[in-house]
Amino acid sequence: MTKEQFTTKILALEKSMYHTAIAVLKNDDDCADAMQNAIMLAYKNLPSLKKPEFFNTWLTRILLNECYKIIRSRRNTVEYEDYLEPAQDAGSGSLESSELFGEIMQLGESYRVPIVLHYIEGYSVKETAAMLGATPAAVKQRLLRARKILKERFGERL
Amino acid sequence: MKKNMSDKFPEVSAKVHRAVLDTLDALPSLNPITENEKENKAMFKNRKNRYAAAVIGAAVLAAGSITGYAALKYLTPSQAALELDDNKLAKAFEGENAILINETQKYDDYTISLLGVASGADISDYISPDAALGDKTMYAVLTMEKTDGAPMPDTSSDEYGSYTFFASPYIQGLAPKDFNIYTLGTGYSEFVKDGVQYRLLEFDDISIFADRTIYIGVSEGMSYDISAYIFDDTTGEISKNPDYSGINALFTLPIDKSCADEKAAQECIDKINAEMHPSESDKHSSQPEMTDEENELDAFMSQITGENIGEYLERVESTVQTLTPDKDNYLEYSWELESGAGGNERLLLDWIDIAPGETKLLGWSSSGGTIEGLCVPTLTDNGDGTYTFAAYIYGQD
Repeated sequence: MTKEQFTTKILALEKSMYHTAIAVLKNDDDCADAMQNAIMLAYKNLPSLKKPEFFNTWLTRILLNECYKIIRSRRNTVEYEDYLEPAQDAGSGSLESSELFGEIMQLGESYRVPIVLHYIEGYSVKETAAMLGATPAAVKQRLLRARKILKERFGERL
Repeated sequence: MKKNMSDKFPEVSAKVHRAVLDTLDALPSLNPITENEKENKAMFKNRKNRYAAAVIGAAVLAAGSITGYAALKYLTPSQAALELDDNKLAKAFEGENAILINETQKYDDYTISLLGVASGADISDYISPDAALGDKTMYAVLTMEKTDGAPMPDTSSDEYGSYTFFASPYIQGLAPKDFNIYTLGTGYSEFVKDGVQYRLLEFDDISIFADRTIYIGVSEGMSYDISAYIFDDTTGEISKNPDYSGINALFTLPIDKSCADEKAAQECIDKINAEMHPSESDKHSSQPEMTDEENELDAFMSQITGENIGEYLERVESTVQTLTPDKDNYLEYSWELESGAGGNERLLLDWIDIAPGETKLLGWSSSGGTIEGLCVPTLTDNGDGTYTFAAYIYGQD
């Protein structure tokens, strides 16, 4: 794969990567760091990708790892939940443009990440499980609970 | 039916987009041929052989035979829009700004059809909330089906997406590797009905380029394939590569030349060029300089491979563990260093191209961005169905 092909793929996936990163990190500065690190790592490790058709899921897994690294690095200074709560500046204010996305961002991290990957980015339960390092059954369970919470908030509108 | 909802959610912020562009720009230009590239070339060679065999057998399908028939077999573009619950677009496909095309191009394995296009402002129920008022959008309905008549996998099945199609508009005179659905488009929706996969492609209204030839192409994979088409630098024309034996469908859109708008077209070109090739001043304003330590770290890591890692770094024995993949081909393990680095991992072996006896680096990280803070997890294929995980750090001595 050439640099141009890699660049094309990354640009095509940029929005999906952003949704995934913001679901974990909830602020733009950290999203930028995680996405930059993930892109560089993916580029370095391209030879290890056995099947090109797994590129999207493989890249998302790398991105999630980078997001969790950032979360881990913050644990020494700020409590995780404290860190997540006030972050309303994500997406340069555009988050408010979507009520549903705003509600998803209020869910706990274990719910909002699979719901973004599966319902928004369209990955299958199997792919989502592979990215999160969880079993498909566990992902289904989390999606079910997340839907239930959202349904309670949105009622019939969901 | 599965719709790509991603487009309905927040756009990438300018800050993050800038960071992504800077990172892509900073990647080494001279990327050595990767293992995947080698694999792709091997696959290409195989396809050529298969093509040769097909020609000997008097089959002409691989060359992409063209028929004008399609109308009776498929949903109309309007019906396809209705399948995607887009009533407004369904009406647009019946209006005066729609063009019914119904052209089919057949290949060995897949048959591709372009059913029609429609364009206009506010002609879909799913206009992006970020779209500017009056923005015109173009929609195209394509179908992909198996030439032998077998049904395409439903979008709800695990097999859906296992074979990917890259469908994109192209414009005469503009390099298709740069001007394609990724830079001109906003997304697509898909569904499968009666074994036929329908794709509704959405992109900027490119009828402003009507004084040039406007194409829609469908090839394999997830990005523009330079081997599938030929871009003539002199005439700007795009054509199918006759030596390519995969899918390289190419349709020409019969758009009225009076729709051309030279000024708007140039603005569109300038905008895309600016996004793809930011000016030097833009790049330097937001791209942090690499520190000496980071440069040193990069240089240090560039010499390390799975084979020689023991010469440079020290294995942390407490992290060493022998692993057996589970029934789904996952390896599960956890590890932790005194520094706090580590993790609970569930690694899908399908993602790792590793041979018996080989050791692969599973990435690396560095606390403080220094060689002294390095941590490199590795995996070794023991050749007996088991794998060994071990983390390496920079030695103290």
